[in-house]
Amino acid sequence: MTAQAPVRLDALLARSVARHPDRTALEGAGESWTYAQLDLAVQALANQLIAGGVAPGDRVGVYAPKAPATVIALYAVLRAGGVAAPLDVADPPERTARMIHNAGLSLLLTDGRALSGAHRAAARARDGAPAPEVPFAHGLHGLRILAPEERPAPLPGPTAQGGYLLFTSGSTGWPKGVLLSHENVAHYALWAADEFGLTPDDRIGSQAALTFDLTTFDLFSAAAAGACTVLMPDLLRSFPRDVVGWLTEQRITAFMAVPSLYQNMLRQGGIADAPPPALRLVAFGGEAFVPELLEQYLRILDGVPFYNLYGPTETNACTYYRVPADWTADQELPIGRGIGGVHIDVLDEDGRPTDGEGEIHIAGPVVFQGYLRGGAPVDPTVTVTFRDGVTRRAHPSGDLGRFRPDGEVLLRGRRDNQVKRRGHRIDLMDVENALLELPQITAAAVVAKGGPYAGEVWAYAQTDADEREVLAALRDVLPRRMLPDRVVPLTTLPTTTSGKVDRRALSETAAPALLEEITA
Amino acid sequence: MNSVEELCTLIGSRITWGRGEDASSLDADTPLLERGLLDSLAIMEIVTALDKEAGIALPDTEIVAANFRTPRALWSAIGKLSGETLPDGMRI
Repeated sequence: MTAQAPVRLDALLARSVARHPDRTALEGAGESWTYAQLDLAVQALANQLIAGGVAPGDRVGVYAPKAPATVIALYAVLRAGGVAAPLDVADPPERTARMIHNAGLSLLLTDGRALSGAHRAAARARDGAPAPEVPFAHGLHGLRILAPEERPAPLPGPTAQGGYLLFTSGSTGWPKGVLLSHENVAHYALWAADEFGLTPDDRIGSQAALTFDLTTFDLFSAAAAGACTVLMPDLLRSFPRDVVGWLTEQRITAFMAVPSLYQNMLRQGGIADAPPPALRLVAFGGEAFVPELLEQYLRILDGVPFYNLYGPTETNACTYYRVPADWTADQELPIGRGIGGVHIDVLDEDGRPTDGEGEIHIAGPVVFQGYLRGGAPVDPTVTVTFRDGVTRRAHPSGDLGRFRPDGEVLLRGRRDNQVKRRGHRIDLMDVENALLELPQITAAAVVAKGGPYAGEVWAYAQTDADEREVLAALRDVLPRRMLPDRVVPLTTLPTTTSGKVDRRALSETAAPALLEEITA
Repeated sequence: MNSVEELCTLIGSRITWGRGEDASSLDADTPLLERGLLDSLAIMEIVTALDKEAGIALPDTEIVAANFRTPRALWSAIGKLSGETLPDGMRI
């Protein structure tokens, strides 16, 4: 598999059209599309985009709720040679505008329901100037962000012919555009289709927002196998019982989601009483699974393979661990080893391979091309020598890990200010910068709480405003998933003897009431 | 809890409102889910508050999208709960 020529994502679709033209490729919003129908629609829209001025390497945002037309739009951008960037309609326009600017998006594709939000974000990205609008097929609208002569410089390397763009929380308050080539995504999609033994009979349940890297499996592994992608209605996402019912009604066979969702399906969703009968493959990733609940799942879905996948957005899922059927909660849960063709190593602070704890480095065909900042790519990868003596271009993940003697990798936390909350990657500095940009805040520290509030993100702010006012202001600039769980107004922030903000004290203080002790 | 307006107040207090919007913009027919006002955390907070503040224990089987589409839908779901889940003397 690793020896074959790089595959384009839209070619995965075309390949399945040739093999299974009348198989169902996509279902959602009450619609059903065969591979032949889907490909026809994709090609027609791609032609419209090209006629409308989209050139190879142009970055095109797709800002629409999850529906078949949205998937068609993503594929059409890829087919036209563009870089497809799914965007979340739930994000505040200010944040979307920053993504548009940082990624150098020249066009925004949107649907009727998201049109007003798209216009708000586009206007902010254009210093207030309304974006000209052009109609496209399937009820889509195109908002022209940049005129042809304003387009950023062409992208280097393989992304000059298009690619995929996802965003992640950055430390500067600006979302970072993660630029992936066709091959970066296709390599993982093909590996997953093969490892999970996907066939045209599979029905893959797609529950997450398309901005979430997990969904590249839903779309592209399905296309690779000629399987059907079934889009879950967005409104069900927060209701575990509805998700369980939907998995059953839709006869979903393969499902990938964050542990939080699986855990809630067990705690509140009733999955133990009525396991979805067609489900034959369960994959999870993005955060740690509560061990006791995973053990329960292995009993409830007896015989169903459970896969732990790991990988930052910059590399897709790059390691995997098939949880043994007799795994119990008192055992470690490794993230496993590299997927086919991917090399994983753990390096110490001097960049040398270590058997102790170190930073996980990832090399191979899944490693992204770079971050987009101000429309231009920046390649943050490093060149390091792995323990097999081979020097490789690698992504330093920021995740700490350790090799077990059997070669499986264990995850051991982060080396920076990044946290995972309900599967979402949040850079605490991103939230802190959003606070500091508010006029009513003079100083702020955002910390991951320990003790009884473990898993929560709290903001401590030097301000006269109250918690509600600060949260309301943050709501305008941050996605809901990134809002602090609490905002604690203070007159001054505690400092260490060296004069820095004492983040540890803030992180460890048990409750707001104790703050008087800190600030005293 | 005696009216859908009281329920609106309870729901409104669990939503993180942006600037220029607040709980007073909420009425019985506000499409809570379509407008993206509720995330999973807010939903659990509403369920907890119903229990703590009004003694209404919403069973897991009722925590579904159909019951959270609007305050009125939730009010109707509460009304349909069998009498035994409500404390004595509670009027719906």
